[in-house]
Amino acid sequence: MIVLKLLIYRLIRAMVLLWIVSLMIFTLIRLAPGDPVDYILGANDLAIGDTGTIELQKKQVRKNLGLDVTATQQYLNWIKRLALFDLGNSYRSGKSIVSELADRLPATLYLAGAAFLVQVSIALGFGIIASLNEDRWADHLIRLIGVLFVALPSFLLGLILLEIFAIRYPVYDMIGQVSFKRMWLPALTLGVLTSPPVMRLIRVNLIREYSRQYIVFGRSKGLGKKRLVGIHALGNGLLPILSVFGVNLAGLFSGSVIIESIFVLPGIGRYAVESIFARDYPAITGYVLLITFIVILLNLFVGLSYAFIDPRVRNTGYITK
Amino acid sequence: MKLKTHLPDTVRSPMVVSGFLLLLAIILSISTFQFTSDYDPAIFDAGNRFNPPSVSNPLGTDRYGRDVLSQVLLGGRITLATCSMAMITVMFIGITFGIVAGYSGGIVDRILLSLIDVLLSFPSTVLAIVIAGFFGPSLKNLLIAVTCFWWVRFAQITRGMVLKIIHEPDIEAAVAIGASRFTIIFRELLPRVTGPIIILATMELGKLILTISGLSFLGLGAQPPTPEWGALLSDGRVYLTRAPHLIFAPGIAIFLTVLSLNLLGEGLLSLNKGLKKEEVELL
Repeated sequence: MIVLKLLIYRLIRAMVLLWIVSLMIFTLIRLAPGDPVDYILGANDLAIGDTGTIELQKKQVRKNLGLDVTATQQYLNWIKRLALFDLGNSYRSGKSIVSELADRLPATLYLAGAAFLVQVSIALGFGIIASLNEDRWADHLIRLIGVLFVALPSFLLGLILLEIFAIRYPVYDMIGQVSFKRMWLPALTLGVLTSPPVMRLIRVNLIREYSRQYIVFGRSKGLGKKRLVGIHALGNGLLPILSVFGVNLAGLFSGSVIIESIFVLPGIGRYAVESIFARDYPAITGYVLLITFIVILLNLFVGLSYAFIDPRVRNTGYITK
Repeated sequence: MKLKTHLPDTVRSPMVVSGFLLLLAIILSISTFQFTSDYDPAIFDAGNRFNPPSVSNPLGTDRYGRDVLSQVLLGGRITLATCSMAMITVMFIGITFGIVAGYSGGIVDRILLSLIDVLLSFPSTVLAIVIAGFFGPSLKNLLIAVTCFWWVRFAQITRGMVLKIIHEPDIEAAVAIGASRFTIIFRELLPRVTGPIIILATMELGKLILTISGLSFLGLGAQPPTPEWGALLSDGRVYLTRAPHLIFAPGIAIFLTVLSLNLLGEGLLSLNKGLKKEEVELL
């Protein structure tokens, strides 16, 4: 029953979030400089002859785009089409944006997923080591390396790695389909660079857990270090970080914009950047809505996962923050 | 080693000292470069294109024969000046919202908190991309976009601190003797919130520089003739094999600047033990 209540609460939250974002995006579209009609018809400053025809043409395009009604009506129409997964057509290619995004989504999903695995495993491994050696040289060394990596611009590292692994010693495949051979280098770059903050968080949380009474009790009971740290401290210490994992995964979808561009991956991030240069507004809108959808889905998933992982949430509805 | 014990903690932390010195060196070289360099970064020299680093051009020349070192130094001015300005604005907005939310509580707090939650769950890069996308790529638009979303973290952290501070005995005493809201906010809350927030801003400034230069690298921020670091890097990327100094110079400049800020911030953060919880929330 409580899980159901939680589900409904989370769903309502997700809907409200979606609504707010849709309003924000719609406002931005309306505020954007330039008239979409001009983009479609092209610059008509040079048009010679009958301006009446051009005005008529403009009116027709405006009507086709649904721009001849009030803003509220436009918003409602827009939402209606969104509900049917109709994002319109790209100004550039004329193809439907849903299918264009769908073609590019796998590369981004692969990249974000793989980078997430790299990020979490590095953060977990070094976070545990650092927490067990608090204020000793291993801890300081890991921290220093973390500070160095956080300061490294992803585009610099990406370009250097590309030069080394694709040109000097060609072990990385620059062309080809979305596959391990194509993805390992960008995923590694993205994962390594984003791991230090997560590592720091894991370290701090674990150190806090070590001083808890249940650990002292476990130690006095004679439990081994592996079991104490690996099961008891890790389980409790990671719980508050779960939501950070969700936010991070969402961040990887967007952080992949630079990496996708450097490694020329056919993902949605590079699509968005190309769309910006082409002033392809429907495509940009589609990209943002897709990211919004992914973010909301992730939040929903993380929120609900607490109910399955943490018995306190399942039985009492208590929400860990 | 008697002297050492008399020094304040700040000076004894190797992180703070190295970060501070590095940052000082960067700021000094950026601000004095007209007096130390004979090169005008805008002058083309067709005979000296793609020169590798040498005595006369310590970081070589670019595809137009311009001196890379002077370009990087000039670019540093643009990057540091714009990002610091954006950071100060962001701090101001964040502290204001944070204090208003934390101090007033109730419905105001709830509304602001849910706004913070919504904005925080979004990757800030995407939001910056949207603004650049709709209003056209330029450094100005990028800075506006970043400012619109970056304050959220500061608001969140300030709010958390205010909620904690507000129950401390001296604030309660101030309330008890009938101090006005104005006095409590400006005399009691603000001074205590500002210190930690400045430390956090140091680290956030590093992140901001990375974001701005990253998006400029993609072409969504500063446009080519502007020697912004990210734009310089993107300019040089085509000649990676022929003239690697073109990407290393601005790249390492970004790296060192962000590193100095992070060392300074991390060092100060670890000295300030009371901040441990906010450090966790910061991420």
